[in-house]
Amino acid sequence: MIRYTIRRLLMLIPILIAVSLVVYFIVDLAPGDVVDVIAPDDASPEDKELLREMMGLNDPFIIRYARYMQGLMRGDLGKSYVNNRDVFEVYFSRLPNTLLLALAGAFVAVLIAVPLGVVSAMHRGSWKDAISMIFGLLGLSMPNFWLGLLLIIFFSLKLGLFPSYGSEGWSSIVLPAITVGTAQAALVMRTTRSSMLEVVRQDYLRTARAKGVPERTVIYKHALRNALIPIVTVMGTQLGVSLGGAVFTETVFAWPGVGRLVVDAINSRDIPMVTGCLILTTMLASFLILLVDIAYAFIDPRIKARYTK
Amino acid sequence: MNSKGMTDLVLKIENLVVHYETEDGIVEAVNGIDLQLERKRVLGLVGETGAGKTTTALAILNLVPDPPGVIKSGRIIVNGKDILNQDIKELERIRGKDVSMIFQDPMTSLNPVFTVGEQIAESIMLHEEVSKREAYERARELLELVGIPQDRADEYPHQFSGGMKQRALIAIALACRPKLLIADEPTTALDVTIQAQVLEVMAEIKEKYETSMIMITHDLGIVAETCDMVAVMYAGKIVEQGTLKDVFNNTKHPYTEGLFNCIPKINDRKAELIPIPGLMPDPTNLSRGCAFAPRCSYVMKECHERPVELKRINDTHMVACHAYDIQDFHIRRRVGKR
Ligand SMILES: Nc1ncnc2c1ncn2[C@@H]1O[C@H](COP(=O)(O)OP(=O)(O)O)[C@@H](O)[C@H]1O
Ligand SMILES: [Mg+2]
Repeated sequence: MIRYTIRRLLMLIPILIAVSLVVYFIVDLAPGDVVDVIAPDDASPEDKELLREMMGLNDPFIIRYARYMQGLMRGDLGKSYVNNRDVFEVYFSRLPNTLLLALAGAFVAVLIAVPLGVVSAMHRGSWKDAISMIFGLLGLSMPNFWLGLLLIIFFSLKLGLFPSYGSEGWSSIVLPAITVGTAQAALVMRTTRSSMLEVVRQDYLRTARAKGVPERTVIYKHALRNALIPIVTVMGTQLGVSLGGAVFTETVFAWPGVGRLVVDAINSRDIPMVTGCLILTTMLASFLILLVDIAYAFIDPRIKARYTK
Repeated sequence: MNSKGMTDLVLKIENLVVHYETEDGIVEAVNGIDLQLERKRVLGLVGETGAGKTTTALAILNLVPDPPGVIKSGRIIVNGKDILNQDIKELERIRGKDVSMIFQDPMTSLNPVFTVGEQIAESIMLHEEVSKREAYERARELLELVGIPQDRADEYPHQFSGGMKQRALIAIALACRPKLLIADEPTTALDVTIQAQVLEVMAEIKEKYETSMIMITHDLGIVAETCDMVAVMYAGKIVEQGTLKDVFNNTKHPYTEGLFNCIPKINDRKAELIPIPGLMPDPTNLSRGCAFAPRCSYVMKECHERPVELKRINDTHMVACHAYDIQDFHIRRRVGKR
């Protein structure tokens, strides 16, 4: 198990290098550069050219990338082109907000979706199933920003229950969390449902019933535990995606998370900021996936046996 | 019979009818059967695949899958309790404690994510006031009892062989010393050599725990070895029943005779096997008459038209066949006595 973990962590190194190269290259490819953004409006073309020369932006791609990698090897993610702030620090000042939103969203998803999926599967074809499936369809197809706006109109403007923007106090996270959680919930619900439908036919549930296990325990202990692998996979993937930030939701609710940080950085062609943020996001997401894979081993002993081989 | 009273009966089934109401039609799986089983006796329930044996067994636990299964009518008394009229809580107390069941396929009948010990212990904890540790300790002892080393209680089903899985299932079923054990083709999925071992374990424990048993099988050899009583099932009905001796030495029903004719004989290997011609009738479309008539070599005109009922041959022996309305009717046993 430990050896497996170490091997997985080592595999992360080439992935991170590849991510840095691709991101650096693509942002560099985009038309325009950071100087157009940060130079004052009245700057002459000559002034701009001078600024480029000073920032080393005129060097060939290879040279610039090599310089960046040099820093990266020392664990230095560089400084923002725009405001000269340390990329690492800026990222981690935003991360708690993103984590909070991601976890709250996942919490909403799990709280609603898993029971809903189970009920849906157990009463397949009934009105309960139909309602769950409609929710699943709506949740998946409704755009985030639209749901966010609906929630704001109803719960903050009409009812005044929750603030419509910002990140102060626990109440301000409710609406963004519901917005992020709904789409996730829909996916988790559908996964739970189909996974449970696979499991409810299994012979071992009959064995459990025959020894007198109460129906609730049959479903939530014997069946759900076996249906958990796909559910955990989907939740892990969703959480990984949320770590990159929820751009629309963050925008609608003025939530200062990583998503908008990256989008703003892209818009201002702030290459070190974009590349650094994405490297860190990739690392976090990879840890998360590793955690999910380790969770598999605890859910299913047959998988554990495979890891330790 | 009546003088003994109900108390000596572990199981009494009256007029049990079970249908599966599927989209393709109504499967008439069990069509009015009566069965009784006295304490410490073993009843062999015999018949081809699709005869309704498993459905009957599931009905005894009130576990017929619903939908599509529906128990249309009948009464089932297990250990004095009216199974079909209990609330769910009471049923959960009865299952595993008064009656438990070993299922046909050991490969898929254990939960892959719990250790074997946990699965045995769960049964004990459900029915008895014991701590988790005590229950687990007893689970280990039970494993030993079915011939598996105690240490292996901590292992998962995938670490067990087929024969060991079936023994573990026997341990689960017997964990709370049920009054009645139903074994649904417990050896069909196993290698021949393992079959004998499993049967031996079952016989031993049955003796030790004084459990009554229903042995479901299509193997007459197993019936001969393990059973006191035999009921032969065909298309959801019992066509012949009696003591082992009645049914084996004084076979009455042409279907039972057909079953004997299609098993190899130990002392006459050259004897040719005669399979019963034809197939079991479509259970969604049963005729009014005898369901075996289309395959029966003694068939008469009225067999197709008039419903058959069980008739008494002697105190213990009953057969459902119109031919016995005729004086001096005998079936022809093909090769000498087995
Ligand atoms: N869940 C089910 N849905 C529909 N039909 C079923 C179901 N289970 C069993 N049957 C049908 O009921 C009949 C009796 O089956 P079963 O009790 O399993 O017989 P046996 O155990 O003797 O092989 C068969 O025709 C079978 O196809
Ligand atoms: Mg069967």
